[in-house]
Order: sequence, then structure tokens, then C-alpha cells
Amino acid sequence: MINVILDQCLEKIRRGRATVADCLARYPDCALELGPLLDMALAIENIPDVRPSGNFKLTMRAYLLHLPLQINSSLEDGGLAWDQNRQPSHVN
Amino acid sequence: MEQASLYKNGNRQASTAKDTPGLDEERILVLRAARHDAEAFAQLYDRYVEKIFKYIYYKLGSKSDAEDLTAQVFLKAWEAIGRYRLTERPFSAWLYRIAHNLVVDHFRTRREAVPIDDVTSIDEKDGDLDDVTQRHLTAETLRRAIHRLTSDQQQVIILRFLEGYSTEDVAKIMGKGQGAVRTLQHRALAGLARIFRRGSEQL
Repeated sequence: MINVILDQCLEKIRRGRATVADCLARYPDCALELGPLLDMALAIENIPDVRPSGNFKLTMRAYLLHLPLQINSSLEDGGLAWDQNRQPSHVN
Repeated sequence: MEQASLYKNGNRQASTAKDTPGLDEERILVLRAARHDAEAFAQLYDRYVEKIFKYIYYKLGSKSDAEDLTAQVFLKAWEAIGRYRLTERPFSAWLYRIAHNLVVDHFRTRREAVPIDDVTSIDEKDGDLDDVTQRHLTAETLRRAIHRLTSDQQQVIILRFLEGYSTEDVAKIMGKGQGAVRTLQHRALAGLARIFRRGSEQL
């Protein structure tokens, strides 16, 4: 049952419809267990995003767009390979 | 390749976008990409590159390795998308499956597959849960902590809280029921709370 309560509370908090305090007040019987779980979840959600570099994203995108010209030969060679130092010819 | 063959049941209603009002935009992109429409595949890449990167990063802990494997995920997806079959499960589930397999191969190749209990414990500076939540968790602190969870628990934490999927979506991506995901979620959060508490007790 705590699984369901936890999930419902997380969704309500995520949508701004409740706070941790609201949830604990609503479920006093499991507040002792619920509190640390909600705190943990919120702490994780507040972690700053980890993102790939902009250069990687752009270079890889350009590489993918260039692939149709080379896919047949690449597959015959045993598959496509990504080399971070390699850029398609049309990338400036 | 004929679009209709993308469907497991050979549903020919999927032959063109106009004929497929039930298909959402993503499915149409997948259908186009399956015919090696690079622009469509690039749009799928735009949608998922950061999510796949984040998923891999939290498994590996190295940004450069995560970029390498992220690139491999999309190259493998591009190679295989002609054989992709639309099902009730989202396209993202297929990408995450490719990513998961590459992560497993990565650890196998590097012989870094360490049992959960053998992973380095949280450093003293990580403190206890209250301290950590007050000072804000860092990506690296969390990454080392979630490595002590089971693979399924790690996946739930990453998808649910770092990538923001709903329980329903996580269930579809993982091919599990929502009840199972809720159980994993509960155990994973409880496990992380324990890990951080234990870290403070070891001071």
C-alpha cells in the first residue's frame, strides 16, 4: 500500500497539487516511512541536469544526416562507427 | 522498405501518414526513419539524445564515455531501424534497450562489472540524507549511490526522477506492470535513503 501512496504523493507534488507536508498530514500512519522517501525523490529531481556537450550533439546530428550516403558500405564493413574526431565533410 | 511491415501484425493501415490518424507524430517519424529518411531520424535523435546520454552517464560516470556510447546507441538504432516493429511499447523503450545492452557490453569488455556490494561506499563528505538534501545532491554523489542498487532499481530512479517520466511511461519502457515499477521505486528510494544514512554513520 505504501507503494501506491508514495507514487500518488510524488505525482501530486510533481504537478504542484500538494507539498510533502500535505502528504504526510494526509497519511499520518505511514508518515515516518513516507517522509524520507519523498525527501529523497525531491532531492534527486533537484539535481542539476547532466547534458552532453553542444559540440557532441551538433557533430553527431550532422554525422547522422550524412549517413545515408555511406550506410551500405559501412554495414558491409561490419557496422557504423563513431569517431569523435571525425566529422562529415559538410560540417564546418 | 514498405511501411506496413513495421507492424507486428502487418497492419496495412499504416501505409502512409495520411492513412494513419491514430499514429502520433513520433510514430510517423519512426515510420519515415525506417525508410532511412535521415531527417526524420535526426528529429528522433533531437528528442532523445539528452535522455539517452543521461541514462548512460548515470550508469558509467564518465561524460566522454557516455557521449561515445550515446553515439553508438543512435548508430545502432539507425542500422536496425528498418527491422524495428511498432508495438504498444514506445520507441524510447527500444532505444533504452539498445543503451542498456551497450552499457552491459561496456562493463563486460572493461571487466568493470562489480557486484553492488563491492562498489565504493559513499564518501564521508557526502554526509547523511538531511545534509545532502539541504546542500543539494550532486550528479556524481547520486551516481555513486545508485550504483549500489539493483539494475532495475537504477533504471527506475533514472527514468522516473532524472528524466521525469510518469510511472505509466516507465512501466512501458521497462516492459513491466505499473505495480512492479511502484515496488521498484519504493525499494530504490528506501535503498538510497539507507545508503546516505549509512554514510553518515561511518563518519
